[in-house]
Amino acid sequence: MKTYLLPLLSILLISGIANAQTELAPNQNPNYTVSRDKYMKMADSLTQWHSTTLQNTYEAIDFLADREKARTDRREFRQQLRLERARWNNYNYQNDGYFYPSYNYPNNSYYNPYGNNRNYRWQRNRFWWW
Amino acid sequence: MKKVILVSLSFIVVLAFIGCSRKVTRIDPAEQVDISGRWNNTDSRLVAEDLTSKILGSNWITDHIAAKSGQRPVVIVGFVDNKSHEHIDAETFVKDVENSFITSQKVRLVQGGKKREELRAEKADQQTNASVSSMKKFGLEQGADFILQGSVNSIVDSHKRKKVNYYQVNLELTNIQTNEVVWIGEKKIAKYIKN
Repeated sequence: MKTYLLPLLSILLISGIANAQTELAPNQNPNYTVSRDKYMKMADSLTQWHSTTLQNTYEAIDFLADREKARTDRREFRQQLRLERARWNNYNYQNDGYFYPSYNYPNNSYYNPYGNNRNYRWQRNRFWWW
Repeated sequence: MKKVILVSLSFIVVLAFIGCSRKVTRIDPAEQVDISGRWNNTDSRLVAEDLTSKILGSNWITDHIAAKSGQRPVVIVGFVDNKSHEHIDAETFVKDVENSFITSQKVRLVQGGKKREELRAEKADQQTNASVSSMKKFGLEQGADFILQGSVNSIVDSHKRKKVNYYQVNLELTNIQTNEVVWIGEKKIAKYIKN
């Protein structure tokens, strides 16, 4: 008798727990588990920024702000231009082999008093001791 | 003669230093100081004062207390979405609203977001490091009845040196169980700026 009673009781207990878990509250949607399972996976990522401000700002049309921005951009561009000029001070685009293809010729193909250095005019001014 | 020149020169130098030095003075936070026309502490304060009085004076508290047999509502603070043209941190006025919940003792407040994560991490740490009698248990947090969410919007109208900045701050309280919005508060601020 005991051998039958124990499994029967355990089955009843398990089914009772299962029933309690699936028992619906009054008027509750029976498919609530679909939504619950979906949001259980996302809960951490969705709630971690609670109590904070999400910044979804936009840029307003503002004459003075636009003018100031244009001015800043222009200054930055000029600064970059100055830096690039300083960097390429010794570089002559006419001598890059594309502007005058004849410069690609060997050094002894024509008279050239400055060797192959055609950009001597664009070199920076050197001091008397240099 | 040399002495006179020396003294006068040093006097000029001292004057120049005084003239160039930065001057900082403490002011009352409630004092209205508008410099650029952008969102500032006065706007934040006006929003906080207005919304605090509205949220505590509204019927949602008494309705909840009546429905829940005298239990005070529990609120959690959610996102505030800043959709304006300026960087605005809503925490400056939302904290005032939270503060009013606690000081008025009409509403209970629970922690959310990063701070809640930190609390849970501390609880997890206690599971292995604290004494059994002082260890805090998981699964006994107070669930919120309502969530406070909000948004900040703005409209800018400008022409040459004239500008009107309009801000609208909305806070809304929603019942987490039913998704029912039980309270909406708004504060509108318009500024005319002439450069």
